[in-house]
Amino acid sequence: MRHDPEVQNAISRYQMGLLRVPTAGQSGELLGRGTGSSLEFQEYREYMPGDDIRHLDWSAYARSDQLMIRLFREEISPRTEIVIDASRSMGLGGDHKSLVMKQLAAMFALMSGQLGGRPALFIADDRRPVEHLTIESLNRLDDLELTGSGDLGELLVDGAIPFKRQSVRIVISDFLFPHDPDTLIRKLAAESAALWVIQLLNDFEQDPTPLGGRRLVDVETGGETDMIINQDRIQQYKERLQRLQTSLARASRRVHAPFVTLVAERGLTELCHTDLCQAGILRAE
Amino acid sequence: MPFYFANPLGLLGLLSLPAIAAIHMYHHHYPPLLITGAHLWGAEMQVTTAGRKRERLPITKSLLLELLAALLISLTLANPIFGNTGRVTHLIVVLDNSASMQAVTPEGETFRQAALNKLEERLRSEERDTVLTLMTTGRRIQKLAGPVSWNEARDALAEWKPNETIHDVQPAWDRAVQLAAGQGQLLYLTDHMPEESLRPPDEMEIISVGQKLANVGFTTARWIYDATEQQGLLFLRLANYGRQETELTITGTVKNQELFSRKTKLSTKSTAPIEIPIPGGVGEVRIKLSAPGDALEIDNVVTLIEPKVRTVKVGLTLPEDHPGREPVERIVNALADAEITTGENSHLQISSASTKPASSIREWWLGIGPMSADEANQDQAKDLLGPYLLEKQNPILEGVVLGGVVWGGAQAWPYEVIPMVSAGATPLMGRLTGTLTTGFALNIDLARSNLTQSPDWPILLMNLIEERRNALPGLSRWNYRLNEDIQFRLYEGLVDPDEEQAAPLTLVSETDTKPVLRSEVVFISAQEIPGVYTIKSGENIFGKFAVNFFDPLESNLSNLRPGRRTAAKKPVQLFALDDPFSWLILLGSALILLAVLVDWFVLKPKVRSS
Repeated sequence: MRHDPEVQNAISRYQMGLLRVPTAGQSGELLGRGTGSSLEFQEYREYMPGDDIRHLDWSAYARSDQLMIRLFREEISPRTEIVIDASRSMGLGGDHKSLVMKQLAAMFALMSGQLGGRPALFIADDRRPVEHLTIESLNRLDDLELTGSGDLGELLVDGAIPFKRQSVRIVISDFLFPHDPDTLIRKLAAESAALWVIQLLNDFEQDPTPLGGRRLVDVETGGETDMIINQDRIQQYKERLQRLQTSLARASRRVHAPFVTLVAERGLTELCHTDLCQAGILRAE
Repeated sequence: MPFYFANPLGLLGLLSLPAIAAIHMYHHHYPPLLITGAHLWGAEMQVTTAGRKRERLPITKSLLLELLAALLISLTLANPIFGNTGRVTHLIVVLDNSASMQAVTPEGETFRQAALNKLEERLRSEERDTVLTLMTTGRRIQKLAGPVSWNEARDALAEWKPNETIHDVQPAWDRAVQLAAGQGQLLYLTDHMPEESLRPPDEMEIISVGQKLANVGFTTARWIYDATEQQGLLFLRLANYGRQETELTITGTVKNQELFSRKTKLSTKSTAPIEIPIPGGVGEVRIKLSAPGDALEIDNVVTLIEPKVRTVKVGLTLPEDHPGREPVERIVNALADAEITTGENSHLQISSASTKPASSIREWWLGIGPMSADEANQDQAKDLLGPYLLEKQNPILEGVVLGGVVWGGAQAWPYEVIPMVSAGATPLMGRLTGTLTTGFALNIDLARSNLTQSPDWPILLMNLIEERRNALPGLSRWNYRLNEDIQFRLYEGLVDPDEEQAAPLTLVSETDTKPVLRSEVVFISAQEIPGVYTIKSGENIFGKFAVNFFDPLESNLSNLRPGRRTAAKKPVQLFALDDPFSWLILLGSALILLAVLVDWFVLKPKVRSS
């Protein structure tokens, strides 16, 4: 996946849109939310004992006879934690959904690596402890099988994902499992520097068409039911999906996290160019 | 509001409901569609545990429509009837079963067919669900069918063939009134409007389809056989019931070979006898009468069976000087079918009354006094002039009056008898008791009596010989009228000689074979169909007899007239055809359906919603 043409094309054309978001981390190319040692001036304040005297503004002292400290924005190199939903539902609808999910994960990992960060890729499935990939082991994505039957909510409750404080978290899932969006997003955002929420659906999940009588089989639980998939049913489904997406978006806004819904069939290139850039997750170089 | 099903068997169609459900359950599977986020589809997913596998019945529009259609069809077939909406009328039809209903009109239609046409016409004006009970008049009232629909009644009517001689129709009317029980309508179909004096039931409608028609027919036919001459004589009586003189042709055939043919003219409303000699040994002859414009066929044909000679052998053992010997010989010799024999195989033994015969069930015996030859007893014997007391019911004394007879030489009885003729307290003739022999004794001294010179003497002897002849095994008559009972002796004695062979006794006609009970005296009830009947014992033919239609009153079609009398009161009330099991069938079907659903919902495997 590291050498996927679309991924390579994306990382050459876009970079992560983190600058607009105050963050924290080790010294690097990105700016944190607090003051630090970067060269970008932020503000003045009065000198207090214990302040680094190298930051005293002697010119200001000469003009106002007051000791003023020049405060600079902290420059960090962020820790990026990418969580991909490896449940069976991510493999539905052909290969598009799983492929795009892997491409997104690889893209964000490589972009984070280019910034000097140390990306961690958590594969959320039924295995404990959760498998986590580094940029060196990114090729493992190629062989990744989507066999999980649990959901993200269960993982967070279990504390199965070893999140680091002040990390940038990117969560890729279809979010189609029963959950409370507020609770889920709050837990994902807890102690993070930033959170990006990406809902990845296939075309049928986003815009189903009438199929007549079908035996619906839940790919994760094995539950079954018979249903006539007609316009009425589809309309009801769309209304429920819309409510879910609205709830996820509102919960994400509360923690200053962008939320975007992607339809896998449109392909990575198109998604990067439109949806991800519009959401501010990527920006063109 | 009364509610019932006219055709409760239609409710069996409800069994199609669980069948449809089963078909949907097991054969109407949808193609699978893998999804996630089932809660967004508003579906409650079920995950079956291990063990019993049963699926929820998919409640689809298709299933509901099919169940609804099956329910409606079943209910339609069951023909539910609410209140008076689908009222069923019960029509009890009494059919005149007299033979005149077979008469053919100049248009070529029988009265029978005309009556059925009237019935069909009447039914067209009734409700569609009218049910019929069909019964015929006659000596034995027969119920042809009912209560049945017209279609079923039509089959029963196809078998109806009226052939009764004249009879009382009131018992059939009474039976119809009983059947109606105040709830049904009554209809009497006939060819002759009954007189009001017969008081037909007020609630009965009467339709007569009769009309005056010309007819000729036999009123009597006999075959007399002279054993001495070995020559037969047919005695026929013909009748012309029409209004015009007609020429008759009488044809006799034996085994399809014409034996004789005569033509004669018969004036209007008259009868004429005709005698036709016929050689002996013919066996059976079929005589047919034909005339132009003749309407009724049944009285135009007779079949006669040649009578058999049943000679009674009289064993006469009276002494040569006995005053009764000559009178007995004189009478027996005068009779055609009796002869005097000296052998032991006599049918009737006539001897002196002084000695009681040995007991034997096959023996017939007549003892003629004097009871004792002793002079003292003869001196004490009484000579009587009467009056005489006779047992009139005894067939041996039929026609015997003993008027002016001097009964001389009556002595004291040496044995017990049942008196048949008495004078005061003195029995003069009696039947023996305490013996199996059928014995009679005359307590008389014919030398002192004028009995043998009186007309009573040959009558007495002839009666005795005829009784003996009737007691011989075999048919005593060979030609009967319709509706006449047949009786004959199968064997003499207490034991059936063929009992060991257990040969079944059967009565064989042209159309069927009926079993007959074996006994010493066989009784065959009156036959209703003219023709030749054969009595068989096993494979052996025991005898043959013929039954013919003779009924001048029924043959006379000149009094028939059409007519109609409406019912004075018309009790049109609900006749519930409801089968008492219809609700049980409905309840059973509902329980089956309920059981299927309960079994489905209660015993289904544990599920968990996804």
